[in-house]
Amino acid sequence: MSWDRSIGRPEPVAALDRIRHVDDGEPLVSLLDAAPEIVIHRDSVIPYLRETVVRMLKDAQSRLPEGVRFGVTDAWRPLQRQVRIYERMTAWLKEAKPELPPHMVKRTVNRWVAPPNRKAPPGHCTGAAVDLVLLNAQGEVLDTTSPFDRLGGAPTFSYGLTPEARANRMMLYEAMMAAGFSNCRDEWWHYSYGDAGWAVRMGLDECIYDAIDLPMEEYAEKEEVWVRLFQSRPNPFLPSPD
Amino acid sequence: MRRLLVLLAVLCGLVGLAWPQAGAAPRTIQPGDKLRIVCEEEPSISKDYTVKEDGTITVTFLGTIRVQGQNAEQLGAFIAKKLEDDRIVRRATVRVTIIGEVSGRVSFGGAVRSAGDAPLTAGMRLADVLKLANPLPDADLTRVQLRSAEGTLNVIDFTKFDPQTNSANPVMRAGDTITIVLKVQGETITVLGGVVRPGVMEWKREMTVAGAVQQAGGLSPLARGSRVRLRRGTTERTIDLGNPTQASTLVQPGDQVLVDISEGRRYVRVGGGVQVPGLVEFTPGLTLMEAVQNRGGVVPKAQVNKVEIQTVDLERRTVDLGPILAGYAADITLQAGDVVTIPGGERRRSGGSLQQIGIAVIGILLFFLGG
Repeated sequence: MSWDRSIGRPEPVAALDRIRHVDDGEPLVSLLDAAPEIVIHRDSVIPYLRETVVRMLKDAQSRLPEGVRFGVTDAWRPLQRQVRIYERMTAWLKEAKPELPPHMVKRTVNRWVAPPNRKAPPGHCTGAAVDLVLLNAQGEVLDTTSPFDRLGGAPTFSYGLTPEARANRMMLYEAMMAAGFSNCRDEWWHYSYGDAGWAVRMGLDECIYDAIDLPMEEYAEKEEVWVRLFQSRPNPFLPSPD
Repeated sequence: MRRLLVLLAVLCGLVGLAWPQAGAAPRTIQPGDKLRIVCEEEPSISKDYTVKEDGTITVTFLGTIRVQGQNAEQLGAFIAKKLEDDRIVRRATVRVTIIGEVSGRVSFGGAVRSAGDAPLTAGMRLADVLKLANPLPDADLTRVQLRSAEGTLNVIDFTKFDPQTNSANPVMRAGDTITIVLKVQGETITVLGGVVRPGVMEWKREMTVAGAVQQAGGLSPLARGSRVRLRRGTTERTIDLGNPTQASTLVQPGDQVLVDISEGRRYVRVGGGVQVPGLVEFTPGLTLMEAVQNRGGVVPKAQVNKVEIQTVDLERRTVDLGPILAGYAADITLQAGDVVTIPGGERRRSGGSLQQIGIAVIGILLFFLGG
């Protein structure tokens, strides 16, 4: 039960696998149509989430101060994207820390990316999870991370954030929690409702959403953009060059 | 005599030990419990009741009565006596059974040492949950979120908790979620709009509107310093930063400073692959090509087929500038405040000059070799 917030604690994979799925087939809806007030912050985002999740996200945004809005940095993901992220993160970690034994590699990668080969589908593949930043009226990102960069300071309640970063981060957290989302304590940007991660965090033994698919033509273009962006990303396990 | 006293004391002790065991069986009634009350002589009070948060139920003829802390038998006797005393019936036989104890779970998380969930127990209150959650030293207990299973949100100032009256200490219900946020260090203000680093920032004593704007990195190029709105609660006043008296207005914790950026809407920003990225003054009818030409035209490596135009409402569209530049397609009219971004080929001043130096060096070498 105890949790060291400087390290954080993601939901254990075994606990996620124990959750029963009772998906009633609620559809994925496009944020572009259903929530045009929410900004899609990256070109690679496939802007689909479950209907209820979109409604809750709109509610959360209405709780933000005037002039601040959400920027979605990831929403629904095809399983294939999840596989690619997982494999790439594994390769990056092996590159950064070649001495790590295989089980530690797996454990470390699992901390950042939901493994795609387990019973419980990754939250993003169910359309229940969303990654967010805060934007000002001009679409610029509000600081929620200083003085950290990359994966440093990822746990929501990290020590050592600047007062501004902490206040902005809490602004995001409060609005999302008030709307009924749950937050992965290891990643300040990741919120979900109705997936296995949510169920574990809420102490429930069943969750609402199972993996769901979209027709490939809906997202093929976005996937290309994503592959390009993802390939150009620096290794997050290596120290920042600057 | 002394021996007798010792024996008496031992006996009393034994009785004392046995007493709690004898009394432990009947459970005391707690808020959230479901009670079934049956009165043979007065059927109108015979029904099921849920104990309210304040530990009471409302019974016909008797009004609101406090039931918390009594056991079922005591409550039955109490109601029977009251019915008789109030002469509702001459003789009352009342039977009370606890038919439903509270069940379900409460979950808690956020800025706590121990996030998770716990079974709901009778009479469990916020203070009990916070004890389990063990908030971090810098948790903000003035803004504890209590969200019910139905989705209603209650923000509680737990620093106002009084164990005597149980103020700010509501009874938990099944499915409640408690969320604790971190205290924002010190007191804060929010500076938004046309500043370099908008967001929440620490309030400092004697901080002025101008100081707050400075703290936020100063005015951004599009800001309108003459129209800064200072919001305090529901009131708002406009401040001109050019007016020293107005600019030195003191800000208070919780204030919102909004720097107007409407002036920015008289410009179009052109960024990315143009010779000189920057602002173009907007005149009605300004076109994409005019704006690009105004900033020196595109650089050689610019991806002119993926030019993005973002409006002030943050709507984005991608257009192909190639056919427009070549004269095959109609030019696009821009709106004030549009942001045009041309991907690729960002001009590298140093790279360009290095290239020129390189060509010069090769030229000199060739000259000497040739000679």
